[in-house]
Amino acid sequence: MNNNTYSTLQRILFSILKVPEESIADMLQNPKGVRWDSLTQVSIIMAIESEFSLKLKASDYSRVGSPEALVSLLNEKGF
Amino acid sequence: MTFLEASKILSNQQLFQKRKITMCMSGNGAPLDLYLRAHGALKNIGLEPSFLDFGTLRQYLEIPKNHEENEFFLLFPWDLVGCLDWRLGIPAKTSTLGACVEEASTNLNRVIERNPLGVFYIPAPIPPCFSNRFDSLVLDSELKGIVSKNRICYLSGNLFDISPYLSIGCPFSLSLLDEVAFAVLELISTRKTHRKKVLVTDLDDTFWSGILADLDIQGIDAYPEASGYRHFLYQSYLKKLKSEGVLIVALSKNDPQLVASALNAGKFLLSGTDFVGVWANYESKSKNMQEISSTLNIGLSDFVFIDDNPVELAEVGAQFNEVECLKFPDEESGMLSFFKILQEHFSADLITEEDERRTEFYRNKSVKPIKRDLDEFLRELSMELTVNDRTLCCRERVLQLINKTNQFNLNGKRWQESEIQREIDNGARLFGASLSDRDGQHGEILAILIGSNNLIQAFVMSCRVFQRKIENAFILQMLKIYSGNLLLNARRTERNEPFFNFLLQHAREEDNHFVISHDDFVSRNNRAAELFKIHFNQ
Repeated sequence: MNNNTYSTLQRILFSILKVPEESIADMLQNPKGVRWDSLTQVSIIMAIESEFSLKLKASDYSRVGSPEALVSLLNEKGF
Repeated sequence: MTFLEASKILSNQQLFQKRKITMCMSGNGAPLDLYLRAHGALKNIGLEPSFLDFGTLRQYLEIPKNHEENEFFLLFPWDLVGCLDWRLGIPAKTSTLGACVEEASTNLNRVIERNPLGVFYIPAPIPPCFSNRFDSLVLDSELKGIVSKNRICYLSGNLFDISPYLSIGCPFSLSLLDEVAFAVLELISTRKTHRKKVLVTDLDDTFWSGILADLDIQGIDAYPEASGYRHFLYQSYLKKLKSEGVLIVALSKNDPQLVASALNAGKFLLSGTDFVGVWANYESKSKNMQEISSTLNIGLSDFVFIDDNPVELAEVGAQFNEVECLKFPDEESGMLSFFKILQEHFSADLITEEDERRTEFYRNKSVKPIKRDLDEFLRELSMELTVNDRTLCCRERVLQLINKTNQFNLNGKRWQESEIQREIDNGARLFGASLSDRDGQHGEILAILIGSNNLIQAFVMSCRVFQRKIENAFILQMLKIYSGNLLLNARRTERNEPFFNFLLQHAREEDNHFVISHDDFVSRNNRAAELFKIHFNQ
C-alpha cells in the first residue's frame, strides 16, 4: 500500500470512527481482532468508493468488516 | 463532493439554524446522512436528517403526520407497487397491470396528502413480474406518468444500484450519494412556502431601455433586439405573472403625465391597464412603497421590488427589510439567474380564474389603487391667477406682502414706499398676483419688483398658497413680458429656505446673482401654466 493510500485510509477511519489518530495508526499496523459493526462497514464502503473512485462488488462488501480485510482489499485493487 | 470533503465541511461547520427532517424511504438511507448534512452546511442550513427503520415506509404512512414534522420522500417503484421490490424475490403470480397502476396511484396519494417538504421519484428497473415483458415496460411508463401528473420530480441518472440494495439495503449507488443529497437540498432550499403577491418595478432602464425624461417616448424601447431585449424578456415575464394573479406596480421618479403617455403609447407588451397602479412622482421610493402597501392593503413582506439603481434598492431595503429587493441585470448574462430568483418568489402550484382577474379586481375596488398626482389635484381646484400691474397705483397690498412675507422671500429686504418709487422712476415695474379657485378668493398673494434690466429686486409669495405652482406660472408670465433671462438679487435669510428651494430647482448662480434661463424655465414649466386660467389686469 503506498503512502497516499495509507494516509487517505487513515483520514477515512479517523472521520468514521472518531478515535484519536494514533489509535488509527495502531489499528492499521496491528489489525488483528478488530471488527466493525454493519453501520461502520457501510460508511467505510461509501468512503472507499468515493475517495478511491472504486466500484465495489457486493462480494467485496463483506471484506470491509475489519482493518485487516480492508487493507488486503485495497492492496488487491492496486492501491 | 467526496466523503472526506463532506466530513471536512461538517467539522468546520458554524452554528446554523437547525432544521430537522425525516427522510422517508423504504431502504437504508443512513449512507445519505453525511452528504445531506454537508450540502445543508453549504447552504447555511443545520440539517438534522432522521431516517425510517429499514422496510417500514408502508407502516409509517399509516401513522398520521405530526403537524410540525418536515418530511422528504424518496420513492422507488416498489414503494408505489409492492410486488416490484427486488429484495422480496420475483412473485410467482402478479396482479394485473391495471391493478398495479391503481395501487401506485393510491400509494402516491397517501404520500401527497401529507404535504411533504419534497418528493423525489427514482426510476429503477422493474423485476420480471409479468409474463408479458411488454407489461413491464408499460408499467414503468405508467408509473412515470402518475408521478408526472402529480408534479413530482424524477431523480434521473441511474441512481439505483442493485448491489448495495441487496447487500446493505441502500438502493442508491454509493458513489452517487453526493448527487442525491445535492438534489434534495436544492429542492429544500428553493421551496418557498410563501408566494409573493406584488411586484413593484422601476421603469427607466428596468421596464424599458433608456431614461424617459431624457429620450422621450420615441427614445425608450423594449424591442426584442439589441439593448431592448432584456427589457422585452422582462416585460413578457411580467405579463405572465399578471395573468397568474401577481399584482404589478410601476414605481418611477418621473413625470406622471409622461409615464402615462409612455405606457399607453402601444409600444410595450404591457400597457397602463396591466398595472394595478402607477406611482410616478419625485418622492422617495420607500415612501411610495409604504403608500402602495396601504393602498392595496397588502403587507410589505409580500412585495418584490426591482430596480436597476442600487441606491434606490438600498434606500427601500434600509427602510423595509421585509421587501425583497432585486437588481435588474445590467447584462443579458444576468437574466438567467434573475428569472430563476423571480420564479422562486412567484411559483404557484395552481392558477385559478380568480388569479387571472386579480389586477382588474383591484383596479375596480372603491379604494383607489391608482395614485393621483399633484397636478391632477391642482387642476381640479380650477385656479384663476390674475396678474396685476401695480406700477402706477394700488400698491398698498403688494407693499404689505413684500414687508410681511418671510419664507418665500427673495432676500428679506424691507422696502419703503419711497424706495419702491425710486426704482419705478428708474424703469422698474411692480406686479402683484391675485388668486381665486373653486373655494373662493384668496386675494393678492404674490408681489414682484423687476427692473428694466430684468433684475428682480423683490419677489414674495404668501405661504397660504404654497405647493400650487403659482410661482412657476407667474414667472412664465414674466418671461412673456421680459425677453431674455431673469436675474435675481437673492440672499439667504434665516427663514427663506422655501424660496431657495425654488431657486435651486430653477436658477443657476452666476457672479453675484441667480439667473433663470428663459428657454430652460419655459420648457420645464410649461405644464404649470395649464393649471391656471390667467388674466391680466393692467
